Amino acid sequence: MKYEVWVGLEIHVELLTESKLFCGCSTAYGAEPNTRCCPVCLGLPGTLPVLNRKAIEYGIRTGIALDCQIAKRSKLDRKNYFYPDLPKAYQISQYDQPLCEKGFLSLEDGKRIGIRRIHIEEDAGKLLHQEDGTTWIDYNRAGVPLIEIVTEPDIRSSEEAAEFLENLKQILQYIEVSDCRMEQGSLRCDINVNVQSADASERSEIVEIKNLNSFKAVAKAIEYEAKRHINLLKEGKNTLKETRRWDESKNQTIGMRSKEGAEDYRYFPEPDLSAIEIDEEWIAEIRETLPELPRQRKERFIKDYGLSSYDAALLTASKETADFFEEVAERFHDKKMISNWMITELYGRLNRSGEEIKDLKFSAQDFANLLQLIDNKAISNHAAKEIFREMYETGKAPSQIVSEKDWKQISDEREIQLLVGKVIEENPQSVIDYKNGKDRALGFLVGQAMKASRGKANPKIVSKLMKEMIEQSELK
Amino acid sequence: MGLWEHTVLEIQKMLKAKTVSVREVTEDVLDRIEQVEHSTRAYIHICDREEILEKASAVEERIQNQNTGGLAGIPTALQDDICTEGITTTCGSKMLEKFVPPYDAEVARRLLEEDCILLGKTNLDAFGIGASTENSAFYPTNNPLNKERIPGGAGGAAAAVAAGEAFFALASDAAGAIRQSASYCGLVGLKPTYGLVSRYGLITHAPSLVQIGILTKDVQDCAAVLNGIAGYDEKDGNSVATEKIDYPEALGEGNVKGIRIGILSNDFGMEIDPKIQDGIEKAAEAFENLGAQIESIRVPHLQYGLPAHLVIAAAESSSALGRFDGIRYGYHSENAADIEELFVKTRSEGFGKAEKMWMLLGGYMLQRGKGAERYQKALKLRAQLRKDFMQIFESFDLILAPVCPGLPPEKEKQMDEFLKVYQNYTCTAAANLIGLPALSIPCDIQQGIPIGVQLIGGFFKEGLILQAAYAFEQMQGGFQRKFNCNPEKLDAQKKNNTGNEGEGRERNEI
Repeated sequence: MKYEVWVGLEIHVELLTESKLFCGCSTAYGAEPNTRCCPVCLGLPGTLPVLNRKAIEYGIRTGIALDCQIAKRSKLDRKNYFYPDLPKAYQISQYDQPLCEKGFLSLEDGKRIGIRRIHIEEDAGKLLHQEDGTTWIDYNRAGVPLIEIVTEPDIRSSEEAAEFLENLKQILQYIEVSDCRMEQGSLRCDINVNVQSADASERSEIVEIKNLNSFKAVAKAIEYEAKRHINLLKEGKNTLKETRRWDESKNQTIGMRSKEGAEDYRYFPEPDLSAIEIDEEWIAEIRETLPELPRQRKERFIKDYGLSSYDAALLTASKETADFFEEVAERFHDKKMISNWMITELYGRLNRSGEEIKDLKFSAQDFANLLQLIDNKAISNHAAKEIFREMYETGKAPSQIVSEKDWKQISDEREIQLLVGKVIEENPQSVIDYKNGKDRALGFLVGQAMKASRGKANPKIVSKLMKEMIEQSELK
Repeated sequence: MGLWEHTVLEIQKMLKAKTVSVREVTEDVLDRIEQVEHSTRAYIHICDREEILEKASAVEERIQNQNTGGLAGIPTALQDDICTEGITTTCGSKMLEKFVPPYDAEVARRLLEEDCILLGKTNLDAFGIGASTENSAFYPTNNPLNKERIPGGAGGAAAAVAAGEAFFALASDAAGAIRQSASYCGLVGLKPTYGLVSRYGLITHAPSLVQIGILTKDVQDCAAVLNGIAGYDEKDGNSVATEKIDYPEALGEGNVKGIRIGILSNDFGMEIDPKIQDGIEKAAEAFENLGAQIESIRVPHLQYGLPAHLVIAAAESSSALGRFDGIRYGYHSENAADIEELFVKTRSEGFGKAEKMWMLLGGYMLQRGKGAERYQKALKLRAQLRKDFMQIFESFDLILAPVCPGLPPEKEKQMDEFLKVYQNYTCTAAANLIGLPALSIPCDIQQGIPIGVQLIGGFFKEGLILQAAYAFEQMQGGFQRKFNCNPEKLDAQKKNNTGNEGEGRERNEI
C-alpha cells in the first residue's frame, strides 16, 4: 500500500509594529525582563485594551500578499485559559470572524498551498525556568501583536513544507510585517500531520507537533512522523489524537498531551473592543503600499536585466538586496557585472561579518562608482577588490581610496613601454625562453612589469606591449 | 443646618460668595463622617484627615488665584471599584484587599483635575456582584433612611451621599445598581450611555454592561458632575467621541412641554408592587400636568431582558475575574505546592460565594454545547431588545418606568437566594443590555421608604433626561431635604426595637 503524508501548518508571526497590540509599550526584542510592560499589558484590574490599528493593517497586508479575502467586518474574541504567562487569564484573539480567509501561496512548480485563515492575536509572556526549580515570568512579550496563519492540509512532503515556509518568510519580510527571526521566536511553526493510503481507505489520526525551531526541524519532524504513522498503520494500529513535541537532540517527536476531550477555551466576543470595520478604501490604500512580491521581482530581474534565474533568485532573496541591486542598476549599465560583484564580493563580505545590507557603510552610488572605475579601466580588478574591502570597512568613497592609496591604474602606453623595455633588458634569458616557445616565460615577464608598477599597470596593456616589444627586439 | 446638608450647587455658590471656605466645608463633612459612619458603614476606606485638609487648603488657594474646575472644593466619594493611584481599591473583595493601583481611573483623574476633594472609597458587593452590599467581603452598608432595608448595589456610595458623608459619589451600574440605590436612598442616580463616560480604571465583572455613573442629592448636581466626567477617552476602546454638551445648561427651565413620554409599567415578566405602580402613575400624571404627552407603551421582548442579562453578565464574569490568580497582585494563597494549586487555593480563598456562583454559571454558559447555545440566544435577545427600544424611540422621546419591582427588601432576607436578589434588577437591566442612559429620581414615599422612578432615553440623550427630571423635581419642590437621613435617630430607633445594637460594629482595619 502506498501512503501519502498530509500536512497543514499553523504559523505564528510577530508583527513589526513599534508598540504592542493594546498598549503603547515597545515591542523591541531583548530588553531586561519586565521593562517593556505597563498596567494594560500586565492585565491590572480596571485597565482596558485599545486596538493598535497598525497591527490590523499589517494583518491585511499579509492577507493581500497571500491572495486572501479580507473581511469587511472582523471582531476580536477572548480565548479563556489559566496560565501564569497569560496576565488576564484570556488571550485576545479571533475566533469566528478572522481578518483574512481563503488565500493561497504558489510553490515554484505552480502548486497552490491554500491559506485557510489569518487572524490577529496578542502574544503571551515567557516563563523562565531556573536551575533551582523556581520559575520567573517575563511579561515583555505579553501583548506583542501576532498573526496566526493557518494553511489547508495541502502539503504533501517535507520538501513542500520547507519550500512553503521559505517562500512565506520571504514574502513576510518583503512586505515588512515581520523580521521572521525563528531564533528570537518572531516566527513559530506548528505542524498538523497524518498519512493516508492512496485509495483513502486508511488514514492515521492527525497529530500536532510543536517546538519546531527551524525549517529544517519542520522537515525532519514531518519525515519522522510520516514514517511513524505508516508503520503504525501497517501494523494495523493508529496514531493517537495528540500533541507531540520535536526533540532536536534525539531527532524524534515525543508525546506531550492527548487531544481527546481537548480544552474548551470558552471563546466569546471581546466586550472591551468594538468590531473592526474594514472598508474597500482602506484595503485599496494598503494594497497601494505593497511592494512587488519576491516571485514577480525575480521574473522581472530575469526579463529586464538579462540575469540568469539562479542569479535573479539570489538577488531577490530579500527586499533589501533587490532594492540595492536596482539602486546600483540605475547608475551603472553592466547589470551582469553588478550581479557578479554583488553575489561574489558583497555577499561574501556580508556572510563573513554576519551583517545585512542595511548595515552597509557605503551607498549604492559608491558601489556603482567602483564598478565604473573598473569599467573605465581606471583601476585594475585586483585593486578594485582592495578598494572594495576598504569601502566595506570604512565607508570611504572609492575615488578617495584610489587617490589616498595611489591605486589609479596606469593605462598610458608610453609609460608602460618604459616599464616593459626595462624588464626585457633585465631578463634576457626569459626573453629567449619565450622566443623558444616557452609561453610561461611571458607570464613571468608581465609579472615583473606589474611588480615594477606596484600593481597599478593595466595588465592587458602590459601583456600586449610585452609581446609587441619582444617581437620588435627580434627584428632589430 | 450643617454644611454637609447642602447640595453641590449650594456649596459652590457659598464658595463663590466666600461665605465659607473649602476647608470649612471639608471639615464639616469629615466631622459628619466621624459622627455617622459607624452607623452607615458607607466607606471601605477613608483618606487621612490631615491629607484631605491639606488638599482642601491647596484648592482654596487655587480658587483665589485663578479659575479652577467646575467642581473645585467639593468633597466627594468614589465607589471602591474605581481605581485610585496610591489608594487601596478593594472592589469590596478579599482578593484585592491590599491592592493599591499605580494609576487613577479616568473619572478619578478628571475629578481631581476639577479640584474635587476625595474623601474615600465606598462599599459595594464584591466585584459588583449583588444588589445590597451584603456581598461585600468586609461588612454590609446600612440604608441611612431605613436600617432594616438594604441600600442597593451601589449602597456605600448612596449611603454616603444620603447621610451627608459626601456631596456626591461616583459608582458603577452593570444591572441597575446606581438607579436602584438612588431609589432606595432617596437620591438622583444616573447611568449614562455606554461609551459616554470612560470605563478606564473601573474593575468590573461585566464589561459590556457596566457604566460609571453618578449619585447626587438633586438633578442640578447630577448635571454638574456629568459635565466633569463625560467625554471621549482614548484609553477606553469603547469610548465614543460625541458633541460636547453643557448639561447644566441643558436643564433649561425644566420644561417638558410637548415631550413624548412612553409609560412602561408592564412586560417585565414579573409582578410589580402596586406601591411602585402607584408611584409611576403619579409621576405620569405629574408629567402630563407639565405638558408632556403621555402614552402607555409595550416592549414585546422585555420579559427576556433579565434572563439575557443574567447569561451575559455571568459569562463575562467567568472571564473578567480570571486574572485574579495570585501571581502579579492581589490575594495570594500561601499554602500552595504548585502553580495549579496556587490558582485553585487563591481563588477559593479570595472570592466570595456570589462571585464563585457567577463564574461557575458563566463558565457553563460559554461551554461548547448547551451552554454556548444559551449564550448565543442571549446575544440574539440583546439585539432584539435593542430593536424594540429603538422602535419606541422613533415615536417617543423618553420612557418612564419603575426602577425596582418592589420596595427595598429587608436586610439578609435575600442573601442566599441568588435569583431573588437578581430580580431586584428586573426593571433596570434592559438599559445596561442596550447601553441606554437612564436616571432614577425620587417620586414618592411609602411608609417612610422612598420610591424612585426611572427615565430612560435614547443614546446620548442625557441632556433630555436631565431636563425632564429637573422639571419633575421642580414640581415636587426641589430636593426633598426631608429625605435626608438622621442616622442617629435611626440608631436610637433600632436600639429600642431590637436592643442588640453594637453587634459586629467594629470597623475593619483595611
